Amino acid sequence: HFVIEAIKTLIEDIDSCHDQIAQEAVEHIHQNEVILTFGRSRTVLKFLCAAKEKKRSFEVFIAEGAPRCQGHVLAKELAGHGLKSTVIGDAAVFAIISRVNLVIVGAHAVMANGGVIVPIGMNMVALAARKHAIPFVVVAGIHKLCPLYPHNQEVSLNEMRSPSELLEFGKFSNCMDYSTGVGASPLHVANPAFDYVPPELVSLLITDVGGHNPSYMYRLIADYYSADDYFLQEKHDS
Amino acid sequence: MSGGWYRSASFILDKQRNGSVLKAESSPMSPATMATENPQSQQNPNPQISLYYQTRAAHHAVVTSDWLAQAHAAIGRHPEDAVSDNSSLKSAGAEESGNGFSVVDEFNNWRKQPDLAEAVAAIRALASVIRSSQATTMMELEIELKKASDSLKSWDTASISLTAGCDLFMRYVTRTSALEYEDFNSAKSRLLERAERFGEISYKARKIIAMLSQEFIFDGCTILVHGFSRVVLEVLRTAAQNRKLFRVFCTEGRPDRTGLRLSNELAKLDVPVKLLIDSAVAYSMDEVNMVFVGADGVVESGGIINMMGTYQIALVAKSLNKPVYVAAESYKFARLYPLDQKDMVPAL
Repeated sequence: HFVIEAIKTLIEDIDSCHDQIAQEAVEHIHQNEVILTFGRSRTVLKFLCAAKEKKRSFEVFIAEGAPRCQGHVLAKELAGHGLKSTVIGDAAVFAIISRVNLVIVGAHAVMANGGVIVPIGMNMVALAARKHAIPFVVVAGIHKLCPLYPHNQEVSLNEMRSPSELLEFGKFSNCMDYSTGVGASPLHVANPAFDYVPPELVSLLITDVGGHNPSYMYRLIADYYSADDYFLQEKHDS
Repeated sequence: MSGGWYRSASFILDKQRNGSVLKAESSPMSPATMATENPQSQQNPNPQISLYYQTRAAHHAVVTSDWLAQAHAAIGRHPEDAVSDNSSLKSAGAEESGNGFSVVDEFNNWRKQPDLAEAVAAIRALASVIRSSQATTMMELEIELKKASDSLKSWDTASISLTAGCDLFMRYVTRTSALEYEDFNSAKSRLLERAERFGEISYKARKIIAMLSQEFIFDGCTILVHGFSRVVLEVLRTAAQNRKLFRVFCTEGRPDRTGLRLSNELAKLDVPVKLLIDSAVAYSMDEVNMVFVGADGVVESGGIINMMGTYQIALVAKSLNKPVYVAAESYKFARLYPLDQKDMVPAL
């Protein structure tokens, strides 16, 4: 019974994490701010809407987040809530960032060292923000916390998605010939899904237990994970 | 080493102490601590307790020697036990508090195992103090442990990991609230259980560190190593056994020639080693993927104390964006907070 109760509590926590995080919105968004976000994240949506309800005036730049372009969906939702939103292409981030005073993004996972796994393209945004000394705020529910240390982030924590999101096979079929025998096809398409942002570039991590420095993550891991689970691989008897 | 005192503010205090101590009898330092010169013992007001330990004692409320003397008087033991001569502790079979058990002997027995870290041997020796203690109250047992811990620390005042290990052992063992048991025997057995567990953890620490560090070493990486650390050697040995392909740059480590020893060991494991002179670190830092060092102690700010030259290497690595990884067992965490390099003089 205890296990079922615990699971129910966990489900409730996960469901309510967006609202808890959104409560922090008021402290971070003030008047006349210009906020940049990237792609689409439900947490960010609720975060911005909560600030809007508290009568903060701000405008939002949304980088579309190619190739899936979820940023378009977010822009529509924000406009529906009455927020002034501007859609820009990913490549324009560096050009626009000097006019922005806060970057808020969602994360796919938070690693043990405070680094975050985010949708592709955000490492660039983080670097641009660091260059212009703009705070890079990541909002993520505590259930996204992972006890692993990202050793080889480009390889082990990434997944490759279908190249058809980038290129239509029909137009490129003469270069992308996958039949075996003759030789390697000259054209390859890589579509990685995630980016790794190192902890030095993240200014603040807002979780449902409050806003923290990335260097504080080890404490949250100690709270939420038992020591046996830190190393999620088979252990060979040494 | 004794000349370095005038650089820290505490030299005023020590000068005052020196005046009174020179009259008192200062016991000669044992051959085991040959690194410290004789003048040092004159600056040490209480030769039995190392100066390093004394300066820190007040800061973290560890039982001080005065308290110890008082406690001894209170339970009617001979007060001279608390201030016995250093040299008598070193002689084989020296008896402490008359129960026929010498912690230093036990410690030396453990140290005979070649691969055992000093601090682990001390922890094991302290555990056996509990086991063979004939105390009948908790206070008595704690006093015995305290005395044993002090004598071990004074055996080698220069070793930070030894001091840290002993301190951590005392805290770990006596921290439990189960000491409030009315039944002394069950409390004692619980203490013993905790002590053995701490000994086990410390003993296995090296293997666990080696296992956890395997992920950091990838095929084709170049590792820069400084100083002879058995932990780092274990890490690299495990990586070699796991058939990882890597090469090691080893600094020479003058004047101790630690680099030569380490490169010999690595060559036995068929790991490609390149020996560098200490000045060549910046030159080759470009090709290096990561820096691996051990630690003599880990301080409270998160920094480490290690062989001379480690700071230099870390600065170069940082300026070239190379990660510096430190492999240190948990008993090396010391209650030190050095604000600059000169704060390390007592522990040199």
